[in-house]
Amino acid sequence: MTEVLRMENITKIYPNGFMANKDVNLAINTGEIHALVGENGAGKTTLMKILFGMESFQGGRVLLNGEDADISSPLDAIDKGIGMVHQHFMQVPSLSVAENVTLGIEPGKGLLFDQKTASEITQEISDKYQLKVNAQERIADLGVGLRQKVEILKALVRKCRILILDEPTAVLTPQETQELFVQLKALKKDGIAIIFISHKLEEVMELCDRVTVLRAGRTVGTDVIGNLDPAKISRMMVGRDVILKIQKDPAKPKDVVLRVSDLEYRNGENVKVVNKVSFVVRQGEIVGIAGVEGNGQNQVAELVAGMLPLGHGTVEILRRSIKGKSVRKIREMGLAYISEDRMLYGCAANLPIRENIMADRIHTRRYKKLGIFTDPKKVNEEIDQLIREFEIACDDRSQPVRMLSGGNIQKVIVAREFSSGAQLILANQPTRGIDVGTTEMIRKTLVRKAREEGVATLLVSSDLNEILEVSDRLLVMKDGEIVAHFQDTSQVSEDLLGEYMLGVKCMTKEEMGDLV
Amino acid sequence: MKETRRIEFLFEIFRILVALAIAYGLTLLCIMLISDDPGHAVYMFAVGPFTSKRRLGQLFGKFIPYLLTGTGMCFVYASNRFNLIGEGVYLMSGCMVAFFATQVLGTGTPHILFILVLLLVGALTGALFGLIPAVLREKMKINETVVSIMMNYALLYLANYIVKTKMYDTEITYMASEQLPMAARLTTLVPGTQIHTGLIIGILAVVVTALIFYRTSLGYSIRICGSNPNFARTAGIGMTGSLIVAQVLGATLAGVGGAVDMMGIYDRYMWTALTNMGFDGLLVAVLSKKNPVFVPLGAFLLAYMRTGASILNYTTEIPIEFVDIMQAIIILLIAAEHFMGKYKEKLIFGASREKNKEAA
Amino acid sequence: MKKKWTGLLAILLACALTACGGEKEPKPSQGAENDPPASSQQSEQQSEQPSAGENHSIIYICLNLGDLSFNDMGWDGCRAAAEKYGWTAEVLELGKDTSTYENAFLDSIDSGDYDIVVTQSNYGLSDLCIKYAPEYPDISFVSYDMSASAEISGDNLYGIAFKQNEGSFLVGALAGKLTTSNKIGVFIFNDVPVGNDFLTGYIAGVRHSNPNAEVSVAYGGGTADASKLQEVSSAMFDSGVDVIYGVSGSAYPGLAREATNRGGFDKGIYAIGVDSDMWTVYTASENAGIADVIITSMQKKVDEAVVYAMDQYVEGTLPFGSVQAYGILENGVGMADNEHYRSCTPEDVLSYMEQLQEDVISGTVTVPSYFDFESYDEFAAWRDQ
Repeated sequence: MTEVLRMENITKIYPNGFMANKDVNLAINTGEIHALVGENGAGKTTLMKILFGMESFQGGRVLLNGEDADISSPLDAIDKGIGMVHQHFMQVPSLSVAENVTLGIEPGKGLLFDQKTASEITQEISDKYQLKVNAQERIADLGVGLRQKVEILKALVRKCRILILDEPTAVLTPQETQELFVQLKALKKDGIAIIFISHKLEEVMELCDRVTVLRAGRTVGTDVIGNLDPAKISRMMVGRDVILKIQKDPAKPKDVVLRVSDLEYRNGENVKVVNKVSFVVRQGEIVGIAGVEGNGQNQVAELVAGMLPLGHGTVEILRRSIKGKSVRKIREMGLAYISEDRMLYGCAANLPIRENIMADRIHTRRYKKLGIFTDPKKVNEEIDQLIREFEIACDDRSQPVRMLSGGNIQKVIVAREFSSGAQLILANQPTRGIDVGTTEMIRKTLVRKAREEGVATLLVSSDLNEILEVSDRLLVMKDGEIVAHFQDTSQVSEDLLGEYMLGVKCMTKEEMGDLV
Repeated sequence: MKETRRIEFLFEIFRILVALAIAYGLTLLCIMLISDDPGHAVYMFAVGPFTSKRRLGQLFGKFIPYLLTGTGMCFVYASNRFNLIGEGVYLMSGCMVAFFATQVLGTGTPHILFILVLLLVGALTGALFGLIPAVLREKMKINETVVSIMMNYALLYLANYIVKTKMYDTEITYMASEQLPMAARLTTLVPGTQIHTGLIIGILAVVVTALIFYRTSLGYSIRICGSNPNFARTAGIGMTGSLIVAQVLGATLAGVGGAVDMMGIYDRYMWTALTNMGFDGLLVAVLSKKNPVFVPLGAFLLAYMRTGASILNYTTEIPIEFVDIMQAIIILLIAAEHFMGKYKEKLIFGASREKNKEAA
Repeated sequence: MKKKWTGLLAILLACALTACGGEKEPKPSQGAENDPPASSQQSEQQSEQPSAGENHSIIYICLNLGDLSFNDMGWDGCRAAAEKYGWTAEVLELGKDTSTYENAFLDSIDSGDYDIVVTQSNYGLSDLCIKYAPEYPDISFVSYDMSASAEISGDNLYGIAFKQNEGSFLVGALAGKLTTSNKIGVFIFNDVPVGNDFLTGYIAGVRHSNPNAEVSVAYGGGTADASKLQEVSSAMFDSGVDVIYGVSGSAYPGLAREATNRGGFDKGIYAIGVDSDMWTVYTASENAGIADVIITSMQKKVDEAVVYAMDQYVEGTLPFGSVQAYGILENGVGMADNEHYRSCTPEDVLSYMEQLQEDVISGTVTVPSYFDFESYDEFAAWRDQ
């Protein structure tokens, strides 16, 4: 085994002053699967973007096969034998698999595209590595698992020797994950070096040969898998033992706070993405909605939050319908809403922490002085209190949110939503893409608010660990419908959940029991 | 991260200074090429506004309306709308002020009352015409830039029509109103200059705007809507209302600006072309980074440049067109957000590295 | 620096003039021909040389040079007078920003470099003269293109008004005679009082010579360029108009070009020029190809009026404290009487025009003025009747 890639002392600073990588070292051998692990925000994706020529870096060097390599762009990277499978696939849905795979290196004479050769090339590689896809099929007709295979094929057709996979299993069901692992091992046999980014430690233990751990932009260490176990890796990642288990008493649900009946929603293409969804959330309980992303959970959340116009069906908060009500009115009725995309919907990046927290409440009488003016003393006191309570790492309350790290931005958002005095918290992907510490804090707070303050909580998440740990009751959505309902989440395993999410299993009405 | 903020702030000042230096350097070069006496020309351009009481007064004559249009455009710019109606209402409100002063109110009206009524006329004119593009934008999604620019010309011709048919002075050969009565003119604070009581109104506007921005829920709403409308919606802020109010307030201030300018330095209404004061107001807002507190600085800088250019024009043989070009270069460099952006990044990289070294 | 140089030049020039006192260069023929009617006095005065002790310097204040007409002609007049008497003349262009006018005006007269200020009346410049003349008793102010009815006072302020309605009356009458379709057009640079004074005279002239003709009126927006006027002319010709009076110096080539394209005199198409004698000016320029459609021009002799005022000033007869109206009689306006006009106009029309000019001068025929109307609406009603 020879060393195919070495990244030495890589330092990357973003224009906002955030140092994403500090003297990071990474060495990869041919024919190995090398895990790159770390908390979200530890600098894994940044390091890979540097390797793939998508980001410039300020210090250090990259060596390919022992020679200095200047990778200026993704095209350059592909030329040099590096392939990357992004979390979001780079594909043209309306074209066939073969066309997508050969896009940019189309076989043909002159300007004519040689469909046959393209298919042959695709099929040949596909057979060789047992990445079974039909070259003639349109991308739009494929599932997520198959589309990921097409991405890998794209890299292989371009003769890549180093394959980067950025959290490939995040979008896959457990079954699809197993299939992927088999294929990756086949690639490994062929001498291809694979960099596998993940934070699912079981997967890393199962698949990988060596592990490099990043923490807060620095290399913590590299070791062969034999010397490690999940607890060890975990300690390296966070510098302490993470309690991923959340202690909680059984829920004692009381009155219904949120009642959703026969909810339907058609998207811009007139496709029914939410279909006859009904459920309730009671005081003091956390109801989770699980599902592979894009199965209507997000639309349910946005409908309840008043962000999408209510068509068919009703949503009642504390027995009052939200139909025709403004978002402010709905919030006044008792809703707090943590939106899915924190930069797009959760904050105003250029404004200070103060404005971001005060956004939903500055108009209330509480902050008024002399009639129309706000009371800066009162505002500042409360903001400072929240900054302390939620341990937001910042200079002060007037620092623009964009200068904070992802986790701290999310803290600003939950500080706002958790302090609004709401009786219903709607948390849509509340911990996506943030560090373990903040994740833990948010999950614990969700549970505490439900148990101690009797808040009704609806948790939408595609993070199975989160949904299984935090929720008391669990709904599973598939193709816009509720396909499963578990009265007690603690009795559900990841595998079982996966089967429902994937549509392998589907509960009957009787099995689901009383939804409303 | 504190370091980043400090660098960003210092850099902003530095950037403006460098932009000025480069622009003045270019100007110097051009002046050397076309002037017999470049030293004198450069002196007049750079120091001219401070060489006599009157010239300083002229600077203030520009500074005062800039305070008003600048704060007005802060509202518009902070709400992230590119609504240029301020240009048109500035002219229109000057016209309406002249109309009320010469045709409606008698010369016997007491001075203070006269001024207050005319200010109200200016403000209402601004609010009324400012409402149109704002409502069309927020209620019907019609592009505010297109509407406001077209309306500016409509207002120009409407004002021409009003002058022509309702108040032109038959004693003169060009199209202008009769002279404003003395009771309708703002008192000059420093004799022999254009420093008039409008300065107080301008400063008041800055203070009030700053209070609205940072001490009222409306200000919070406007800034949040302007910064991220999606977030504003999620947080339950009534966007339509806030944004209409912001744009109308902006137009109102521009209207007051037009009124103050008319009462402050003109004998009669005689604008037959757009005054550029509304557009300059946007520049002031850009220079002040849409923060009303900085508007006096931005307004002063722009007034200084405009005055320097004007003095350059009338004290040297440099053609007026060339003066316009130089002003454009300076403004371009100052307004260019990413000018020297690479250098700023380097500074931040350096600081970040230092800090991390210390931490390590 | 330029001032110093010109100052030096002026001194040199003055020396040269005093040195060769007796042998006076003959004046350019145009100036001699078109001398204002007071020429009997003037010829005497011309023989007198101003002494070096009476050196003056003129500052000419205008909006923008380069219009080949109104602004430039004032400057031409100032330069001509300066050359004639060995003075210096400088120009101050104010540009677009009306708020700076007062300061620029004061700054330049405060410099102490000038003792004669010549301005237009536009954009409050006459107001400034009226306002500041009492404060600067040592400086003489001359403002041209003021309204004849304006009342001014003081012994250092003089106003010049032009009776553009009179000249326009003549060319209007000519248009009424030339037309065969009884459709006549006019383009006015902007809907402003001076423009409408041109229009009033023109319409009155047409109605005087040919009561059956109708006049189509088009206004520019003040920023008319040649292409705009060409477009307007084209539309007018399409509607059957055969004579167009284009009151816009800078846009005029558009009319001349369109009229040429339509066949000119051969097809019975005529254009009438404005401000200067455009046939003569165009013939001598790169526009020679489109000059021959200009049957005549309504001359507004700004340059000559300025020189004339300076003549009176030197002589000490300039009636300060008043506005004088320069009409046909005073040679401030008039119809260009060149060979082209003479050769291309039918005999009977020529004699008709000569008679009419005499009638206007003698007062037998009175020409209405825009400034006589009580209001714009009254004027508009008269215009559109």
